[in-house]
Amino acid sequence: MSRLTRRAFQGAGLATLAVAGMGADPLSAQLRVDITSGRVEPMPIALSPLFGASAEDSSLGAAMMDVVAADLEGSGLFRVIDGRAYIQSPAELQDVPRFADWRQINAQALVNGRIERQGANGLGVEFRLWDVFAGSQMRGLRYDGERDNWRRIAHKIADIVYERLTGDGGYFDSRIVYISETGPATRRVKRLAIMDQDGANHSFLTDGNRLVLTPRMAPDGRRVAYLVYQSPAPQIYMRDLSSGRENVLGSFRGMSFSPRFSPDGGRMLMTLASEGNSDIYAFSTASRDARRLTTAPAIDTSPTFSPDGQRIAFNSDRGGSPQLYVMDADGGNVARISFGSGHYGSPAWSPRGDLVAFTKIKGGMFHIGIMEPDGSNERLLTRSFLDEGPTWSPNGRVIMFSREDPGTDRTRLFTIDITGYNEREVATPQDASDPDWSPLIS
Amino acid sequence: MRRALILSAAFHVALGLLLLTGLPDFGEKLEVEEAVTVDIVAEPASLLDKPPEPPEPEPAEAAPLPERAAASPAPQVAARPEPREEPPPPEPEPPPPEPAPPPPEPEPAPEPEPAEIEPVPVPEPPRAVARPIAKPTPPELPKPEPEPAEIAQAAPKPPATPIRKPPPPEPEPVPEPEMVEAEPVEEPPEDEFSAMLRSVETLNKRVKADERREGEGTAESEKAVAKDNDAPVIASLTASEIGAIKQQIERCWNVPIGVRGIETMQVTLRIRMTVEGEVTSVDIEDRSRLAADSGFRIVAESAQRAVLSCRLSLPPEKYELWRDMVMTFHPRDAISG
Repeated sequence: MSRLTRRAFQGAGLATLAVAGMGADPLSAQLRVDITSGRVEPMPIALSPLFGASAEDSSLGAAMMDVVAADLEGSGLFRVIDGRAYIQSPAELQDVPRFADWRQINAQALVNGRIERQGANGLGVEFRLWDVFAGSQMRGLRYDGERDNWRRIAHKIADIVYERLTGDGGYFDSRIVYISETGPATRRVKRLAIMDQDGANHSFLTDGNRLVLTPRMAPDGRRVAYLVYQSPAPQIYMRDLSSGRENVLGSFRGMSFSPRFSPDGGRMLMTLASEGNSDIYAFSTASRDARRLTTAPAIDTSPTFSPDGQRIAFNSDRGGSPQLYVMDADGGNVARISFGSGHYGSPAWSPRGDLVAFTKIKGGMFHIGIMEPDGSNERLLTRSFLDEGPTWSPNGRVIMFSREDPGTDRTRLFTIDITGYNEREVATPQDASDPDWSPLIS
Repeated sequence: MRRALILSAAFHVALGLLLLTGLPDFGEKLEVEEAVTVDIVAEPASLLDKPPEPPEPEPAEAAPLPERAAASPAPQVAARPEPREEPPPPEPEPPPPEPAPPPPEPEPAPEPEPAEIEPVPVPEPPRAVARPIAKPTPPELPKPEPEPAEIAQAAPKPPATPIRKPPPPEPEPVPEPEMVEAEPVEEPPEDEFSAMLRSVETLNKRVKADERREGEGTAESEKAVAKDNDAPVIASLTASEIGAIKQQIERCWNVPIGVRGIETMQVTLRIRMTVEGEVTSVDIEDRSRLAADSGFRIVAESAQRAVLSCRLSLPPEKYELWRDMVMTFHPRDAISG
């Protein structure tokens, strides 16, 4: 009897194996295989220098592709294959690539293209993104612009490649405003500065005679609001980037600080302090009317709009210690969202709307963290002597913040992926703090 | 009565003897019966396949990517909103503008606007994933024009793209690339990228799991099964042979970790191969989602790339069993694996 049972089981086992191998339908011989593992590493991509007819154009084409390479590698999601391994030259690559040459070096994607001069300062650039193993074109675009603008065109190429290969929007054609700092702690000189997201095209917007703080880029990327400390009280200034003109947003009693634009640029949130109480106000940039949103006898500050403009996250010590709260855009429905141990501050709502970044102080250390807008899934991404001031990349994937080194006054900018990996320093000419990341330049 | 009693007693004795000695026979009978197993599974398949087996029409057409189709007809501008110049608010506020001359402004440079350019026809069907060029007509690039916005409308100029000879198919999977360094923060570092993936997974748990369409292709697969009935009956691929196929593909699959919601996706490919192990076609199931969901498309393309970039080592004597197969890629398992 036991023999019988064993055999029956063996038979059943064989049948199961056959079905598993042959597919659910026993009449079909189609093999079915489940792939449950893979390589998890940056995608190998080949970036061939853009071809130019003259030596000068060729070197510009190479420089442009270097910018694309730095952008893509900086994201942590791509590995650019060393150009010395490329078999096909840029000149040969003007038509359809010899895919076999690129498969040989295991390039999964390839970007090629060319540039051409147009008049005195014109530049025409076209590029194509190829799926090397499928042998097909994934994107093909042409840009016509000014030659001086070549870095921006390169960033746009990187954005297109990033978007096509990750499914997320790019973030490379964007800029950063921040406070540049020099000098000893007692006589710190602070200047408003602006640069491309990768640190290039850096320039100072103020000369350091006045103390400036908390710059915020308008959603159109063409204006910056910032705080100027001067007698008798700090004021919020608005500066037009193209004309260089600036003016005071309004005269308020007491101190005003923490400016932040609404997603449509029509309003600004700010904190006004008077008689020991700080509250959040919404200020119309057109009518200049200010409306008070919080009334608690506590410090309410650091307001930030959700990307749909319907809600506001802010920081308040109304519960006894600084914590994060969310309310409707008109000040109603206030709810606390941070409940972990430690103190929270400087919330920044992601442009995707799915997360709120913040600074957290716990156990004497500073962290940059993220949580969902209802306070769930809090995760700390960094830990250091002093990290603060998170600001989001336009695609909501990367956070920039400033970090101060212990024992020095040295402050620098860093970026980190929302997964907590790929932390990188952003090079600036001098010390840097208070970064604000612009939307994609339109 | 007595006779009946004797008969009954004799019958019982005989029955008792039978029970004692007869058991082994039953066992043997059952054993014989059991020998049928695997063959039965294989048989109907070959019988069924026999009559109407049309030669597998080799798909000259592996669906063009949506992107491509979209890009082909007319170069269109990926219209970005044109920046409007904001006049500075006429605010004559008391504090005068900063005395110092405004330092050099960052360029308010005119926007370089993109224009789609036509795909170049790809002459070579790469290892047979034939993507028939949507349009045989020559492609071309819009003429350069000073005004970026209008470029897309520019009349296309004739292309000057000579068709090249198809290069010989071929690549060997190349050694693994190494990883970019990054510093883990809280968790103990393991494989950074796996960790990145896991984190992304937790961040995107809202997306609902997708149901993969099942069963499609079985009708076709029936005809795809061995039409050669003279061939020796092949039971099946062994578990280790199937495991080897799986492992080879897994080594070639670069999971696109940047895709949000990847852990909820599942990609099924229908693959047809030559007896030499060359892939003749890779078709992605669920084509409707392919067009609608860019993240899914990216994962599907990565799976397709894995199949195309791998040279599978397969037992040629069992060609009929693997000439047409279905592979399902599970990013969630790959990420958490």
